[in-house]
Amino acid sequence: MLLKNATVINPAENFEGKSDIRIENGIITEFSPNLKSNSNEETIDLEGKIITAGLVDMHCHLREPGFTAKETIKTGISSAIEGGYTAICPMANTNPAVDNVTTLIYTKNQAEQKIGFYPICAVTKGLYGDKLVNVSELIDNGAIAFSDDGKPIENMHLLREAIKYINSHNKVIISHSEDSSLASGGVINEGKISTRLGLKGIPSITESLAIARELEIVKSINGRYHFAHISAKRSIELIRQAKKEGLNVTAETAPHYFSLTEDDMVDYDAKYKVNPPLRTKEDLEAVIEGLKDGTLDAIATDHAPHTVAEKQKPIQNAPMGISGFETALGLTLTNLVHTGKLSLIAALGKLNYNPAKILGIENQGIIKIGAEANLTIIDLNEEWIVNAQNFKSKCRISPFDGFKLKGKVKMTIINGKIYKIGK
Amino acid sequence: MEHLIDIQSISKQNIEDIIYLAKSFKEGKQESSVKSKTLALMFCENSTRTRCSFEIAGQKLGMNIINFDDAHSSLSKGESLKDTIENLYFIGVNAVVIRHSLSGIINNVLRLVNYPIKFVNGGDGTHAHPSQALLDYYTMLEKMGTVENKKITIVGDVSHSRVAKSNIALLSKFNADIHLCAPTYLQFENFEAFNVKYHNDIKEAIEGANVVMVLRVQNERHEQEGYPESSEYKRLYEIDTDLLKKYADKNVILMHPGPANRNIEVSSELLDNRVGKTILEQAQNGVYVRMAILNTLLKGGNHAS
Ligand SMILES: [Zn+2]
Repeated sequence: MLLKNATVINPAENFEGKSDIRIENGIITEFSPNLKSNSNEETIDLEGKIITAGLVDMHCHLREPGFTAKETIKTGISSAIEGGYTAICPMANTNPAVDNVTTLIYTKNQAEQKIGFYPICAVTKGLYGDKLVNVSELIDNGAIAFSDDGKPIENMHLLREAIKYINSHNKVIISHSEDSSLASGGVINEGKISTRLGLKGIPSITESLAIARELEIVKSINGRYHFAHISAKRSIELIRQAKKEGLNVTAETAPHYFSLTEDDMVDYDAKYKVNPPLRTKEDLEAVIEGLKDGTLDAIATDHAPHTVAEKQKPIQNAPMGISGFETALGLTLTNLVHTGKLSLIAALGKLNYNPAKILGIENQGIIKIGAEANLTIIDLNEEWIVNAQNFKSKCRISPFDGFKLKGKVKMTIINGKIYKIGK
Repeated sequence: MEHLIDIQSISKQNIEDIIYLAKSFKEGKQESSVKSKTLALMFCENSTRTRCSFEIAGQKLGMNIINFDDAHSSLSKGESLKDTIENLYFIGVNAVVIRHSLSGIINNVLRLVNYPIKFVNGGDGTHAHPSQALLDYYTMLEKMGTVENKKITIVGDVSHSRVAKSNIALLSKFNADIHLCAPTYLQFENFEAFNVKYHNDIKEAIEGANVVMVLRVQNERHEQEGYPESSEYKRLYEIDTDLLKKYADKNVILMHPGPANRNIEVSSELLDNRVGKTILEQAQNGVYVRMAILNTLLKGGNHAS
């Protein structure tokens, strides 16, 4: 198969330019301009389109096993492919949790190798925060990283030992940074909106305090560590400072933190309810600044589906989470690239190369000869309206429903197999 | 005016119209335009005063009234509020007054209900209590003629008070000089939320005040983590005759949305003497103001199918 006439953006090698790509048996065999198509070879003209390395989502929730009314591994994967993802890393907070080899293998079997599937396993058994999982056994069966995401690890002794041990196996812990005594019962960001609406607030120090504490641990043991879903200005300042000091830490944010603020929540609509909560305009600007200067390495979806009925509950009782796969690229292009905040190559690097590098995922996030053909084809200028009713995800409710976005996934190519998008 | 959910979402003109109509009802100059319409009172949180006030208002207007007692309702059996309300509409209910412990519950239900039933917020969580603010305003106008540039001090459990929020929203529209007084732990979390003056010191807060509105301070608040005992509150913030005489305007009006916690936020002696009378007048005015609200919302051609 020959992909012709596209502009290739390959953040892994800081390459952008016209180039053709030949794929044989799912492997990239040639990558240079002006390739001639062989007889009988399928040739796809991508004039005006962009090819980049397949997007890699380092943080999502697929809800299976345990919560299949919200999403299944199959619907989650379809949704991810629709969003341009060729690899995803589902979190472990299912029921049972992915804290054991049996459940890990079960999830991998459900995925049927359609997409690059790299499960993140729990740090502690049952995500209870007290007993470390069997790390090496899980790694041997495919664990790509470890996280109790959904819950913070409160026991600092345990966290310190866990970082040391997991690092010694060349894997990273992904932190859900939250101080639960401050977050307890909170619904939206603590600020003028929560006060006006009479909703219990979640102050931004809920996040930054946990980060400060965890950074001290990482520093003391010279650990390697990753922070998930960064939402607050102060958190970004702390991580920026830590990186300056040479700490081996990385961080991600999610599209909603550079697209929405607490001001969007004035009508008590739980479709905006997410953890950490949407914060202020100042925080949103700090997130963008953090993406620009590299403090925030990656953009992850934190795809966290729930049923429509759950998201229509009174905001206090509704669960937290946004259906994220199918809007992540469009939001990134619309709010970061077309606004001139980030270059296209920098933005794409945060969606493919950087997350693959952080987690050490091979064959993903990179375009090179001999690698699996995992690619995303984008029309940078196509305008489209988000319609949550058409989501492949079971979670067909979204704060972005009705948004006009600029930049759209056209094809997702996984291991040489083409998935046409929006058809 | 489609519904009465909070003060922010109605206009100054709406408020003036309700006040005018309430006055006409009180003076016996206004007939009901909503006779034989049906009102449901859905009180999912304890409130004798507000419920009785709406019930009497509805009776005086010649409405049919359905009392929806939460303990016996399908709501406590897990039926969604949306389903309950749509059902009420189809059995002929024209308007529903909702009192609920969750802030924003009516905003939520309004998004889901597909039929033209009218909503009146009877107090939702720590969000709003618009009929209370309207009756407080009515009472202030009766006493002072205007609130413009009058110093109005709200004292007590500000942070949990929907009454305070609705009063702030209303009084701001009419350019009152609004002051809030509470200890740090009962003050709003965010001072940018409302453009008012904040005080911890009671003397400073009521200095020259034309109105002192005392909010109920529940004993349970003082049992929460990080809060002192209620005796500490009483020592610093209890409003009594001496305090008013010494600092407030000599014609100060004492108000309280009720029920008062005697000898915690306000002295029993003060409540029982002349200054406390206003609190009973508030209750009386509440009926006329609620008649005006119901009459305004339902006077049009709206009918249940
Ligand atoms: Zn998380």
